[in-house]
Amino acid sequence: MAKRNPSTAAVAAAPRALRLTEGLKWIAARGPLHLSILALMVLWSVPTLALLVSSFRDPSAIASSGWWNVIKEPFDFTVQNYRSVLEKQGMARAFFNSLIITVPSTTLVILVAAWAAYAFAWMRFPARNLVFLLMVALLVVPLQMTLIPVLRLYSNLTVNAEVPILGGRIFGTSSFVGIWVAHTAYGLPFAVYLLRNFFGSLPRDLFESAYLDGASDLRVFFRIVLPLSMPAIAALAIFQFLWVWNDLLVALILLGDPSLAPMTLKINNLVSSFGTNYQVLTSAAFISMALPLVIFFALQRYFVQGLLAGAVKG
Amino acid sequence: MVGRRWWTPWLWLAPSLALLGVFLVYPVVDTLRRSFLDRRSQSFVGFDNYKFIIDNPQPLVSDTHSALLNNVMWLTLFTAVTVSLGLILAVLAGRVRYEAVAKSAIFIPMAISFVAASVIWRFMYEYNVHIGTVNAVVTELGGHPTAWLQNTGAPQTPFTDLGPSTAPQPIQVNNFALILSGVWIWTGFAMVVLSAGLKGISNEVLEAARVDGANEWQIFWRIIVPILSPTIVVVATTLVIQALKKFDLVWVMTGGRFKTDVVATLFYKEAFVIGDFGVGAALAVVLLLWVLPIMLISIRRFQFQEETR
Amino acid sequence: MFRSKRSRLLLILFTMSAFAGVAFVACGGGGEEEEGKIGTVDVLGIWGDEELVSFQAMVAPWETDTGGHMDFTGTRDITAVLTTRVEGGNPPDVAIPAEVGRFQQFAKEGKLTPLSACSGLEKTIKDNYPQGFIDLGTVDGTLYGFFMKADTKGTIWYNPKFFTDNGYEPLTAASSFDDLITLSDDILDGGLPPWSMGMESGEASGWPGTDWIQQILLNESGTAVYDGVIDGTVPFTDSRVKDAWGKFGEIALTPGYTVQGGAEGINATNFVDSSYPPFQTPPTAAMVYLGGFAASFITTQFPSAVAGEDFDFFPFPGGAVTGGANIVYAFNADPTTCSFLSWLASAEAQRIWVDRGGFTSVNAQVSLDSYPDSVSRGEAEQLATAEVFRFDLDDAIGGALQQAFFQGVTQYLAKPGDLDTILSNIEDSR
Repeated sequence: MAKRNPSTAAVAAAPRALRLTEGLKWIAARGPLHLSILALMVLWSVPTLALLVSSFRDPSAIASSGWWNVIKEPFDFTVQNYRSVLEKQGMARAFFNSLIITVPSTTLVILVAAWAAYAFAWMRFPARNLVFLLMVALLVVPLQMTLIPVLRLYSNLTVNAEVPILGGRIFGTSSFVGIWVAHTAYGLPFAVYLLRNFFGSLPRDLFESAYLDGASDLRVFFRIVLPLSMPAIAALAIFQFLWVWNDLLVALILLGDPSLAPMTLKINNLVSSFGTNYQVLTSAAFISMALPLVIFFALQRYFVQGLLAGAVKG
Repeated sequence: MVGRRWWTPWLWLAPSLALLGVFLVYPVVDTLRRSFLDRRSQSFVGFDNYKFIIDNPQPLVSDTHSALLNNVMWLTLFTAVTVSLGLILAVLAGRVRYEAVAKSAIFIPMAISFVAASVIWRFMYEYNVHIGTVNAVVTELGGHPTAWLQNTGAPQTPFTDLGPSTAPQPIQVNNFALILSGVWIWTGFAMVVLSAGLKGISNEVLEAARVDGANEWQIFWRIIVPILSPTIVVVATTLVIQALKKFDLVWVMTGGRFKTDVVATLFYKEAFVIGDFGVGAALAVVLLLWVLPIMLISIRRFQFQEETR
Repeated sequence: MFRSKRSRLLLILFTMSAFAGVAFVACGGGGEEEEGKIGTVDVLGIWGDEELVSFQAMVAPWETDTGGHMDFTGTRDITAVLTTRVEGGNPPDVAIPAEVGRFQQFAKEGKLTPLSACSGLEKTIKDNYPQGFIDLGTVDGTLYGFFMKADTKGTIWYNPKFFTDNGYEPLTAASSFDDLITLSDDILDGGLPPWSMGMESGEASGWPGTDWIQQILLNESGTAVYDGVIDGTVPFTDSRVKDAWGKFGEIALTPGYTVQGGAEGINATNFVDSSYPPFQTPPTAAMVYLGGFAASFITTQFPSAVAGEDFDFFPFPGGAVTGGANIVYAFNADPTTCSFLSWLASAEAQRIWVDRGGFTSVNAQVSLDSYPDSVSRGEAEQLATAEVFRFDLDDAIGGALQQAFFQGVTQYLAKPGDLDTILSNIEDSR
């Protein structure tokens, strides 16, 4: 019976010194762990911090003293860099171009992929698995393999008329529609894979009862599958959004007109003509990072989901 | 299922199949074709373009050997370091209460574009010690500032005078610098995926091992790593594919100069700067061949998943 | 349910911002060309920063007068961008690069419009521009491009105050290369690195070194050899070419000669930044060799510097002058394009940039008096009165060889022992 509470009794009776050593032991045991994690976190954030701080500094300050000196001159900040980059360098236009390119590319890919995913998941047809396998295998095809032929194709298909309001041609190179279609196609293998897996995991009885009630495929698709798949669609949307927003190569090759350039392309040009004018580069880079960072912080869960499934995306 | 004709599924598949056919399948075939034609894709030249890649006759303009070797370096070093760091971080972060915050901090670089990351790291690697953070730290610690992105010397030279000043290509300072920035971006990815896998390891197994007297090190190597190996493979294959396709990072940071070219940047240079579609296509085919084994692994994994579905 | 509402909300937000963006574009964008009216001209050039501001100032009167608008993209990577766009069937309206190699290729392929397609333009050029420049812009007998913004590359910049304070004498056209070495040694003995040098320039890194080499080659070996290198009769592996490289290496690599501290520093320093050291207070180097455009870098960084007192140039020893110029050519003959080209070619427009400094015109109607200060006048005079003048060597050849030349310079600096291999590699890319 005395065994029931020896520990509590012992602790209660322990002198303060013992508790102190226990505390120290805890620090010694857990200290290095916390220290290393915190150190790594700081280390990882330093480069981004450097960029952020520098973008608010005067050009002469950037060139003459390291950004860490900001601590000494706390309120010596300026938004001049941002103003100049937005107005003079056309980053404002580039921001909207990025938006114009990314949003339709995201919505289109979801729609097209959902159609195919539903067929793969819930319809029976010969060679279903084979076709699916081939589609997913295309995930690893490097973009480089496709760019020259697609460029040539677009040059031949170019419709030289201007699109009102949006700018750019109706189709072909230097056309927003052209790049929407291209990004949709490139995003399909991953999207189909992701959505098909999710659709397939929906409970079978849902479908059985719907079919029994005489619902057509279209009805089931829009009334049951899509609403229930919002988590997967959200994850896919975020993943595709970020991928297109951050893309350089496709824009570089298929979009020739500078007034249609997204931010990645603009920054690429800025780096080659303003190589050491960091006040321009840092602010431009930060503007391009702003939206993805916001999305990341707000919707981290979905982003991670997309990424986990994206462990297979090339 | 009432009302479903035999062609219904194909109707649903049609848009996807059409897009994929035009944008992925046809180009692969066409690029393959072009790799056997001349620079403007007009006349047949047989294997000349591939010979160009193997012989490397113009190392100053487009150094194919350097590009291939650099790709190997990226494949191995980038993947190894990222996976290891990701794994260590996943294990460490899993033990603290602020795990989510820690993971976010490491993960942020994944959200930004490679172009923006290139700007960040160009800024960090700047030669001028008043601007470049890395050089400032190095000089504080007593070393010499180095042109991290331009220096083709052996990797230890900025830090010590020991060892040879030049190492065989591609073991050079600027390659390491570039790979480091790649690691900075992708470790978050590795960490998140491995962390998810880690959560799947039941606590009882770990507890039982601890009770049996195993220390943390042994637990790590004997239990965690083996159980996680499928996940590690998934992460590694993704990273390998990323390493092979790496364009933005290298292009914006060095443009492939100072012997940092990889096949992806060399492709762009050949096809669009020099204007030789034949060699460009051949390089793209080389990339595809490199990626093919990964494709086969992935396919086999999917088939396995299919059967267990 | 909560999750789906949230994502739907976000989708709505995105769509809204997309529409906002579209509205913004509708208000701020534009540029549709109507029949006969002057619209937007799409220009691809190399300028950024200060040079761009000056170019925009030069174009402003045209925009006000005609109601047109210039859409300018500047990148030193111009060859790559130009090639990609032409390949994609989407060339700019006007291109203003510095190298003529790609220009000649486009002209031969029939992608350019002859200047005669714009009324009055060809006559203006033929009447006011030196024959040498007209010839350079002519391919197969047809005039396709004209030259704007010439730059002499025979200028070594120095700080006159520093020189007089320490008793150094600037060299003259009659001096020799050995005199330059002696001067460098004197300055080094006086305790200051004599030179500042920077090769970094994005894709084109290495070109400042090529300016050194060609200037040395022209002065040491003469016009026959220089021309021979351009047309291929003299290979890069020739001993005279190798000698020019070696002399360049002497300046760049002799210990203590450069404030950048040798090959690594030189390769990493941007060419614009390399123009600052001689003019800092106190100076950290004595001289920098860059073309006439360096004047604008100096005045931007040191706004209080007075031309002729705080900064000046002396001619590259030997007296022969190399120079470059930006060539302007067009891919179509739309009314907007022609109007824009005619404006650029006119003396009136060019005087605007001349006034701002850092611009030398080859239009004969821009007299020497138009130049605002002794330095820019000196540059224009050097160009106009040079007995021996040659167009920049690598710009004249262009193409893959130019790329190889640039790369070769940076590699040579890193590994001077590889010079023979580098030279034969350059020659192989011809």
